[in-house]
Amino acid sequence: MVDALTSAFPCLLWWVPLLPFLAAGVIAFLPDARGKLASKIAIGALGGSVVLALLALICALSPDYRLATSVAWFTFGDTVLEVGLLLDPMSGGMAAMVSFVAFWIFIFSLGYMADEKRFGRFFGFLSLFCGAMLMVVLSNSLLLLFMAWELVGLASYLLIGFYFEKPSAAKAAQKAFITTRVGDVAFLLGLIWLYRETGTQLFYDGGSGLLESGALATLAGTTTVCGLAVSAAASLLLLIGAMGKSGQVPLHVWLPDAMEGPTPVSALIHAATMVAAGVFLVARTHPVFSAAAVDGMSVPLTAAAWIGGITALYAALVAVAQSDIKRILAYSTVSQLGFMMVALGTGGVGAAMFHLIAHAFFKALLFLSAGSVIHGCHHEQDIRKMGGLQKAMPKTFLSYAVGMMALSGFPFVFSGFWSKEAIFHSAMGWPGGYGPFLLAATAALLTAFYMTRQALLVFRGNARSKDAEHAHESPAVMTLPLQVLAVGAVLLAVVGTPAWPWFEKWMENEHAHFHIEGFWAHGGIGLVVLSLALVSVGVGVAWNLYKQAPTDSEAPDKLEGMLGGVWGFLRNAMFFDALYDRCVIAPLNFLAGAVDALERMVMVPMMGCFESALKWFGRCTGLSDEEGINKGFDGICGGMKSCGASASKAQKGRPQGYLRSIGVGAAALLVLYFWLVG
Amino acid sequence: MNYSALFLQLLPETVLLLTALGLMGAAIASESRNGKALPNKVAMGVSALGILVAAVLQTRVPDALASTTPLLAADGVTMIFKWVILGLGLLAVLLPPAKREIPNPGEYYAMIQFSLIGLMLAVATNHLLMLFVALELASLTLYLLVGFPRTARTTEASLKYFLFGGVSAAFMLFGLSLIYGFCPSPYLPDVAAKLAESGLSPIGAAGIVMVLVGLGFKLAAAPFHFWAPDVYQGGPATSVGLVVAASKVAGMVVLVRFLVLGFGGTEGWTTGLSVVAAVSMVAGNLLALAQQSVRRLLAYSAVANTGYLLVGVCGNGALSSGTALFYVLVYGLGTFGAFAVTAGVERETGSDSVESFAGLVKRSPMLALALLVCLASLAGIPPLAGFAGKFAMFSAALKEGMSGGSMPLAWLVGLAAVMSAISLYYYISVLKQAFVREPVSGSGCKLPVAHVLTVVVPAVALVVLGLFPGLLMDPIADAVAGLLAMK
Repeated sequence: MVDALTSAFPCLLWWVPLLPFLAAGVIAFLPDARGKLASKIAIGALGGSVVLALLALICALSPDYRLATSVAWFTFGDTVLEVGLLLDPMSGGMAAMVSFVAFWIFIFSLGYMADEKRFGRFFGFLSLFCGAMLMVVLSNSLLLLFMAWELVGLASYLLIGFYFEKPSAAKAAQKAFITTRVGDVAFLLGLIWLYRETGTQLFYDGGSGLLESGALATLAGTTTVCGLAVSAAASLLLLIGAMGKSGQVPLHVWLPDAMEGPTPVSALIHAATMVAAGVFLVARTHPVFSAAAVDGMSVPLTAAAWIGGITALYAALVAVAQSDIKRILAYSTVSQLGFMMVALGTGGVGAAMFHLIAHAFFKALLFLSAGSVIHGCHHEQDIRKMGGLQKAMPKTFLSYAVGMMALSGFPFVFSGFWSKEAIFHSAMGWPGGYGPFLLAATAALLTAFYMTRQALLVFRGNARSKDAEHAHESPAVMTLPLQVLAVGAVLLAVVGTPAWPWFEKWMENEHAHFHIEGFWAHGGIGLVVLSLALVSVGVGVAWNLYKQAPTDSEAPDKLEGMLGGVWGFLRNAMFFDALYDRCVIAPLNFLAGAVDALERMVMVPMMGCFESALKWFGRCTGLSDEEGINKGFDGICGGMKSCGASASKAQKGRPQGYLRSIGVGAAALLVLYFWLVG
Repeated sequence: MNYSALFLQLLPETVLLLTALGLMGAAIASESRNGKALPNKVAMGVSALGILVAAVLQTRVPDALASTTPLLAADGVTMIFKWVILGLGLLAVLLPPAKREIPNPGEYYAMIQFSLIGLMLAVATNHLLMLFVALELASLTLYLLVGFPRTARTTEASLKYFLFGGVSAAFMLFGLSLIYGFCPSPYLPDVAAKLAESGLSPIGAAGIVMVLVGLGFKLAAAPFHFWAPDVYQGGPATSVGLVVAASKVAGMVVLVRFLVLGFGGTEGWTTGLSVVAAVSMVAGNLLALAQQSVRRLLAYSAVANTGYLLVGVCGNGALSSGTALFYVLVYGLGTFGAFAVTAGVERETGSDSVESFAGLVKRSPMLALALLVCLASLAGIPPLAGFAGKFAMFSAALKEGMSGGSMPLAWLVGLAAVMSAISLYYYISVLKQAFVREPVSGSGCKLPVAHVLTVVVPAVALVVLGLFPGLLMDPIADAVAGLLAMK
């Protein structure tokens, strides 16, 4: 069967991203009133993608499987630009995960968005989003990946701004789009550079692809600015692109604001799509990152490791002081993405991908549970106003607990524990020092702390507001996806333990064997003990602080008293937004205004001269007319005068000054020409 | 000289000329017989029909036609771009001038035919004198066209355009005469041969710079762009439609012929041109950020896009200039489509301010969708044609602008990428009004069929060319390679 599938796959594979695209296209033409039909089309199409992606996954289960297709997209001159799809363990696993998780998020949306008047349009945008993300993971060409990447950005803009009546949502959408564009510029530059050096956009192309030995040797062998190899410099540009998409410090500012979208969108952005794209890009182009590596270290990889570590710790610190249920989860996403970057930077591609996929499951689970809580509490998002929901919402509580324990890294049965172990293992073995490892370990402790804090405040104690008192369990269409994802978050643990690290090895195109001693060999036991200690400290401190739930929603947080000013600093996310307002946005506004003012203001005195000259001229001719010389001449002058007056009155016009610019420009060009060329 | 072949070669222009004369005659006849001007719709219809016939005849001009006179070129570039000019001209004619009708439509549309003849001849010559005459024919008619119907605003725009154009034409003519002095032949392949033989003299260099000033004016490159915002804002829609697309395309073809064919043998001008490109990109994009009027915004975006185009020309090779010519076509379509939507909004609300686009998606989903396609293409978002054009052009410029392994154009391409990211901000601010804001007035946009065509055709073309850029990029690249083989 696998053989038959394999032979059919070059064609079938295209349908994985195409089905959601087609659904989005069809839905675009449906009227708003046909929302139910639209949701059926979207879910049906994505269901098709899930089936195809799972079939593809079956093909790709063998670690050395690789199917690379390419078709000529367009040619200019003798240059042919090719695009194509790639199926290997990494893309097969990602495609299956993306379509599967997204499918359950779609189902959840049926219940969550039921009262929404633009129900159909919502599903259209979701389909576009998923189609684009599937294209990102399956692409065999950097160019196609970039195009799909931009589509992901566009779809996220539409979805984050879905409640566009809210100014904050419209603003958040714009912020997300523009911040990630900063990264995209770097990505595009890196892409063009790599293309220029190697002459190919394809990842794998029968030996001449970008990720194959020939091109990598060229890239590593050419040196450019600051003694960097071209591969390193171009990788740094790609890394900036990935930082924008994956919310790494300092380009993370859009991610917490992206909460303004509907909760299923947050789940999709934070788990299966969008933010995963950045990490995936680095994982996919890892051979380029490490092409010029000496002893497993290269400049872009070191940068990724440190940026990841800093991001992990920064976001974990900020999450401690938040009180919006979704915002806490948002910062935890930023933090977890940092973990993945640490793994990538320290050479653990398999570990990063394992954490990425495990995280997709439990973060989708957490977001959807949070959505269920919000739905049950009549759209209250402040955890200070919740409490005691355990009784009212037992199913939600259970699935939330699974997600929370997976994220905090509760030992042994949760996927999050083993994927974090793999990352620690990779960071420990890094020859560049223990910095990223220490940052990540501290972040892991804080993760356990803030997740326990959140769970206690939401589910334990007494209800602290009317909405929480009247909370109700969500309908089955919303709880079923939670249960499916919860099972996934646990089951994944089986394939990633150190005894049988099948998943990591599979991602790195290697075979894995079962060795029970894997649990304690290579210093593994020490790390396990360390993890246990970190989790227990985090949970224990949080339990002690928050077991006595506050009595009303106005009471200050327990930590607030202990931390003093630091609390406000953390609560405002270390003032990054204010920093950007002052340092980027204000100067840009000022510059635009100044250039504009220059054009308008320099002309004002000149315009005055022009006008009075014309008036004077008019007066002279008026005099000559009185002396009866020429009435026609007077007519012309009158025309000129009114022209001049209207020119000066209407605005902006300073003909002589403008004309002078021609002369000045020509002179400057001449000087430049003779000065430079001689 | 073979006159029958010459007749065949100039048949499209002849048809335009006859249409123009017919329109003027009809205008006079109508006014003297019943004292009323020729009806606007009749004049527009006749004019469009004339262009259509000319376009059909242009397809019948045999490919293998040898040039019958040194004044006219009969190469691939000529064939393609005459057609492009006719197509963009037809779109402009279909765009109604303004809500207030033009009092003397016969003259107005006749003038459009003349300017198209000028533009067509300008893309079809390698002869410096012919080039100047053709450009002046187009420019003089455009100055007048911007001044219809006479109001304070159009007069101001027209006068400014004329003053600027006059001065830069003087520069250009002086430059051309210097070049003629350097190489006593007005024929560009001869100039290239002379250059290869004896190198560039300072007189020739001064000539290049002066011609660049003249062409910089045509293309609205900074700092020769000051006329653009006023003309874009003040002129009637039809005339501005010609200025934004057809005239810009013709200017680029002339620039490529002049610099890459005539002076491709010397590297000196690329430095100067890349400075002009950088200044245009920076000034255009920054000034566009501060605009409230969408017409002015498009004018500054035109300045910025000229900057990108000059990057392509700086590559000084067949591929980079070929892709630049492809991009100018894509740019022309995008900016024309956006302008046509603006004209539609203006027709309804009487204003072209960004706020008047509020809720366009509710008032007219089609206009809003076309605006999205056109602006996204201008911003270079895949998979629209603007992305394919920019990508091909920048990578070709990087590749061909290499001298001895280093990349002198890398900084320029980097700047262009950064600047196009900035440009996204002001395009988005218009789209945000159209898609996110609630409409102020409840009424829908009702536009005449011709106007609808001018909006839909560019948008569809941008999508098709975005998915299959090869349709036009290949022929254009081949034609440019053929042209440069003349050297």
